[in-house]
Formats: sequence, C-alpha cells, structure tokens
Amino acid sequence: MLIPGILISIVTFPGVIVHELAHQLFCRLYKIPVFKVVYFQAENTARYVLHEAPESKWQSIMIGIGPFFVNTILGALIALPSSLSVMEFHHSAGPLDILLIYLGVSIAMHAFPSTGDAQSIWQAVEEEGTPLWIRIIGFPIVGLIYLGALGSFIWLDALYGVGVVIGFPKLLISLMA
Amino acid sequence: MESLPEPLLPEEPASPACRNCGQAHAQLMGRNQLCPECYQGFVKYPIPMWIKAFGGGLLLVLIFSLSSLSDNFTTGIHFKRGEMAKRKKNYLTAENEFANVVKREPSYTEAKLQLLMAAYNNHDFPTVAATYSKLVNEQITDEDLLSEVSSTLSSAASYYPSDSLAAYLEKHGNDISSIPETGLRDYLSHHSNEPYAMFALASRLFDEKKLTSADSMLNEMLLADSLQYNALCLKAPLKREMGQMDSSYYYSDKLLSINHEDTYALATKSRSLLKAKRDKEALEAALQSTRLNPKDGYAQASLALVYHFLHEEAKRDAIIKQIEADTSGASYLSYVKDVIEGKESFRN
Repeated sequence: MLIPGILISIVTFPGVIVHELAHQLFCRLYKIPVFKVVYFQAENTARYVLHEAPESKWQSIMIGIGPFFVNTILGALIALPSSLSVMEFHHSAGPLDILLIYLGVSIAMHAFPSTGDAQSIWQAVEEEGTPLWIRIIGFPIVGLIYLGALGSFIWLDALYGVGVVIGFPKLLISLMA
Repeated sequence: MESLPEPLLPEEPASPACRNCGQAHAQLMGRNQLCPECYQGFVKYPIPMWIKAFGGGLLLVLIFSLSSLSDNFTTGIHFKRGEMAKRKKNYLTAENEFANVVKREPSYTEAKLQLLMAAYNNHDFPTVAATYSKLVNEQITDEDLLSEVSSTLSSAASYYPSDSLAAYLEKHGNDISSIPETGLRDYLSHHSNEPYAMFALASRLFDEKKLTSADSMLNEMLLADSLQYNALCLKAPLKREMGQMDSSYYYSDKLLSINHEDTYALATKSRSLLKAKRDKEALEAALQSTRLNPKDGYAQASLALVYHFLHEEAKRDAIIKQIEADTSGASYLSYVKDVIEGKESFRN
C-alpha cells in the first residue's frame, strides 16, 4: 500500500525531529559549524541540517549516521517498559503504553540515514587523500543507506522501528539474565 | 543532513576577513574562513525553543518510562533465567525463577504454563496442581506451548490413581498402604497397566526386602514408560540394596539426565557411592544435593549419613537437628538413626 511520505512524516513527526536533531548534536559534538536546520515541515518532506564539511572524514561519516544511533537508542529506551509490559507479559495496553510505544516506533523508524545523508558521506569519502580504511568503511555505509532507502518502499523503516521496540527488551534481558 | 564542501558565504574580500561578519582577522577558521567568534556561533547554532520543549518533553517521558522499568525488567530477567534453566534441564532453578515471575505477574499466562511444566519436571505435584487451577479458563494462544503443556499433563496422569483405582481406594479409606499385597496384586490382575498401583506394589515389595520381585515390577513399569519417574527413583536404591552398584549409579544418572537438578537423584547416588566406600564422591554428591534444596529431608539425611561414615559427628548431629525441626523429614531421619545405632546395616 502506497502512503505519501508526507503523511508518514506527519504521523511520525517525533522521529523526524529527533533525526535532524541528532545530526545537529553530532555537529556540535565535533564542533562543526551549522548554518541552517530544518527540523520538520508539514508542507513537504525536505528537512536537513546545513553544516560545514568537516576536515575529518570520520566525522563526516559519524554526522551522517548519527541519527541511526540516537533514534534507535532513544526509541528503544522510551518504549522499553511498555514493550515489556504489553508485548512480553501481555498486559492490556493503557493510554500511556500506547503513547510510549508510538513514540518508540516513530523515533526508531526514522533511524535510517536518508539518501541526502548518503550523498554527503559519499562526497566526503571520495575526496582525494581520504584514508583507505575510511573508504572501506564509508562506501559500504553509503550502499547500506541506499538499500535502506529502497527497503522503505516495502516498509523496512517501519519494520525496523517495530523490531527495535519489540526486540530491544528481549536482547537486553538476554544479556542481563 | 547536507554538508558544504565549498564555502557557503559570499566571495572572500582581498584582505583575510571573516566571511560572515566581514571583520579582518589573522586567524580564520574552517573551510568557510570564519573568525573564531563567528565560528563558535555557528558551532553553537541555536536550537529553537520549540525543539527544546519537544526534547524536554521526550526527556520527561524517558525518565518516567525508565522509572517504571525496574519491576518489569526484573520480572523479564527472571523469566529469561527460567527459560535458560529449562533449556539446560535445570528444572529446580527453572521452577524457582518461574515461581518468582508468577508472584510478580499473577496474570502472566505463559509464566504459569512454564511454572507448571518446570514443577512437573521436578515432580513437585502440589505446585503442578496449584498452578493448573490458576490456568483453568485462561485462553492460551501459543499452540506450541499448549501442546507442550497438554503432553505434560497427560504424562502427569500416570502419577495419580486412575478413576477405577480411586474407586478401589475409597473402599480402603483412601489409603493405599492399608491395602494388603494380595489386594494390590488382585487389582493389578484386572488393571495390568496401572502405574500408580504398580509402583505402590513395587514400593511395598522393596520395603519388605522382596527385592527381586520389586525389581521385576519396576522393569514392567519401565517397559511401558522408560521415563517413569517413580520407577527410576526406586530402581536406584533397589539396585543399591541388591549390591548392583553400577546399575544403581545408572538409574541415578538416568534421573539426572532428565533433570540436572534432581536433588533426590543426587542424594540417592551419594548413598550408593557411600555404600561402595567412595566417600569423597559421596560427600560431593550429598553436598550438591543439599545446596540445590537445603530443605529436602532426603538430601539432608543422605548428607548426615555421609558425615556419619566420615566420622564427622558434629556436622552429622547439626544436620540431624535441622531435620528434626521439620516434621516432613521424620521418616528419613529414622533410617539415619537406625544406621547410626547399628540397627540397620548400611555398609560393611
């Protein structure tokens, strides 16, 4: 079923905002100047963080994939108690559980970097003088991002969001048990 | 995210000046040639108030969410530990873990089903019955789990009297020990495959030291069901009494292969090892058994026996005191006392 991207963005706006904020926070972490940020707009799906290209290629990669970590971890943590209660112990979901799971899924499903992020990483990695090990890491990441973008046509991003919310508690418990 | 490989701001003036504020500066920074003040300003590009409010809201939700996590998380860990113990056939641990989960989450159906199965594997039938009663009328959607439980419950039936035996028992005041041996044999001649009655008769024969007959009866039971717990349990001491020590170890080990934490199997093995004068191994098995279940009367009695033959009287007497404190251990204690007093010959 094809649902316009703009509608998905509106419904899952917390994830969209967290995604852009993650780029910005990674820029701040690496002390990279930021010139403009568009966190969210209801009119179209364009949102971005306009920043200076870092000297360090590694920082370029990390700024590009930062949302993957931030959105995944934040989404998983927010939904964790309700996910355990509802999915594992089969309690009936209260309004708070629904809110937490909604937030968790919508944040985690926007963890995938966009094709715009991939392009920035590509530009940084293909520049002359980029160390080989950065290229070895960078190019597959770009490939994976494009694969993820293709996968979003079959709801891969949404599946990822749901997977994080359901799978993270199981993983955490397995590690702690 | 979009990065700017080329400078964003207007063309550079002739003298080196910041491309944002236009002020000349000796030390311009970054690809965009910004003075340190402008550079720092862009590094700390302001986050709008509404985003801060949104982030604050998320943070509050996160704190609230994590504050309510502890209980659910602990329950989840106990459940997982129970599952892991079950996979390793450590059913005593599994039962304790699932019991903990059910205590915390009484409406957690899967945990109750797992508790029932773990309790069955520990032959803790009071817990099986109590858990079963809590499950009546509950809907079970997990087909695999349902079939596992159904199979457990049908196996459990062999440890209870059948309807016909129950009717027969009623005539004897519901006390199978009051039925004479001939009565049991007569009943079995009409109901040859009744495990409960067969075991009752085998136990009677064992108590009366009719070891060969008891052995034959147990063989019949094991022919019908090679995992019949009661039969395996009685085989180990029976073989010990018959002096067939390897066979006794075999049945103890068989029980331990079904449940790695079978305290009875460990305790009875310790007695066989003790009888064979393998005292060190006997002590190890007895200690392992009491460690698993410190309140198990048979395990405690076995350890007391080991200490007796190791001439560690103080430790032996301390354990005897512990058994005396619990009335359920009386029958085990009387045997130990008989051995100590020389009324019963345990080993030469």
